[in-house]
Amino acid sequence: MLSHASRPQACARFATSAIVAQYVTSLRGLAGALRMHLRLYATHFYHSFQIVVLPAGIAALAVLVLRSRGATGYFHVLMGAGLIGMWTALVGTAMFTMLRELLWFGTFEMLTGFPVRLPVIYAGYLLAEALVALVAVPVSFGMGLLLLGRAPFGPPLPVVGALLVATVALSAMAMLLAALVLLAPALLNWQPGLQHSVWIACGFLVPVTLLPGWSVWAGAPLPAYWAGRALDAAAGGQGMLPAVGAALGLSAAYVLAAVLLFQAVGARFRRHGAPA
Amino acid sequence: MDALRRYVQSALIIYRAQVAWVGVHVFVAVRVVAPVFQLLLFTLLGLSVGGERALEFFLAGNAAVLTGFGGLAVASTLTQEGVQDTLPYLLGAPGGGLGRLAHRLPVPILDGLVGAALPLVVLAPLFHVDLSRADLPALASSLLAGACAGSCLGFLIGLLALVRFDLYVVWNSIYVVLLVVTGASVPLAALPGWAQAISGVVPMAHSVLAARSALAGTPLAGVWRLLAWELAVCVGYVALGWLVLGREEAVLRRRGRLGLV
Repeated sequence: MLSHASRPQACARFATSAIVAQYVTSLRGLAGALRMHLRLYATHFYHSFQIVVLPAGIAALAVLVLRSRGATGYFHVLMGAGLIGMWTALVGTAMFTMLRELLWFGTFEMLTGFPVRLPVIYAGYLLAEALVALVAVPVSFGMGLLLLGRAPFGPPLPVVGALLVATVALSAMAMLLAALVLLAPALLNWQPGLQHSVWIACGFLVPVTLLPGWSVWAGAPLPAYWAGRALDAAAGGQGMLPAVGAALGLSAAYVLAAVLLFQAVGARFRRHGAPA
Repeated sequence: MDALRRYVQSALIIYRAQVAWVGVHVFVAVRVVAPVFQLLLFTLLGLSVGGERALEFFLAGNAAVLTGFGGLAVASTLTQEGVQDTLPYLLGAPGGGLGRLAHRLPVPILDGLVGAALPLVVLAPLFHVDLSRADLPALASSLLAGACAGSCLGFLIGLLALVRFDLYVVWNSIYVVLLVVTGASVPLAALPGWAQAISGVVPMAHSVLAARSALAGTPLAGVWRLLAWELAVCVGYVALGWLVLGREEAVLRRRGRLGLV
């Protein structure tokens, strides 16, 4: 039996252990989603297009264009081709996870009633996809090596650091997109229409300074735009901290917005039996 | 006349039903917005490396390669027959198999033509490219020849995809390779040896050259050889498709899997 003096301490211990248990459950959910996505989709046939053929093809095209015109800037286009592959894979997961869970497997109902929150599950899926999609970058630089006889990579540590920031930025954008697709499934139809515009706005292949003045800043609200600038700065040996800060700050804002949207979707699903 | 009307009607129905374009917004996203931005991306790439002098080269070449999108429509109308279990009826119906399947070509060809012409008309003024210098009959013929070639490639791939592979992965992969080997953004002489070797037999490579010449004002008489080559490529792909159809049909009949592909 507890004494009066020890009761508040026991309550505090109970509350702390409940919070810890909640975090542990969330982490287990995240790890489970990550493991499941890797097992089911890491070697899916469609990935051969998204993270191998597409970045290799775009890299080959861009290198040949630059070489035929005597231009430089190979790092920008090779990294851009890799980011294009990563974005294509991530946007595919963001958009089709809803279809998969809701229409194909019928598991969305279970996810909304799960002790782990919906955004944590999606974060697990997208984290797994981001890990797989990173393959697009070596594929792109491999194509550069094949065609140029060298791979213009830049200083490894800053570039790898900036690449990790880019991975976070792309994943954050994909997470917000996943939540938006749940609220408005009609967005699925706009995926092919939107993909090139995102590549242009983020300056993946072409410097955004070529765009008309008013449209240069179309990419500024996108974390990937700043991640691209950080990568260019890292390769050029310039200071990349402002761009990294902007990319990470915007990524945090995107994830926060996605979490709020996911909670709204979950609540709506539990109330009406449909996400939108 | 009645036969022609029925032919056109059924071609349109097949196209609308099988490609499953169920709403105007889907059509706008896939066939209007996406090609405009694709052409914008590659023209900007050209502008970034070649300046304003390179604009016509990239604009005409990449517009011509957009005609290939009709090929995906043709291929998906064929594979959807397998998915929707209508293939046995199609293959079992009286009449020549090739004629029944080639029925799917005309509307996607027109679709490919419009899908290339529209982005060109939208973006040329944006980049201050003067279309009034172009020889319009030659330009239209070039794009039409490209659309025919892309659709005929789609016809072959669609037939192969009935039993062999996932259509969308293979089509998208082939399209990315075509962006390189057709010379849409790179002069053919600047391509690696292997790419130059196959550029003569891939669809749209000749229409890319013809479209560039037409945009610079070359009349139809000056590009007819290129267009003839492009049409020869079309005939080659349909002929190959005919051979594939006979072989695949025999395989499917032997396995008793006509309705399960």
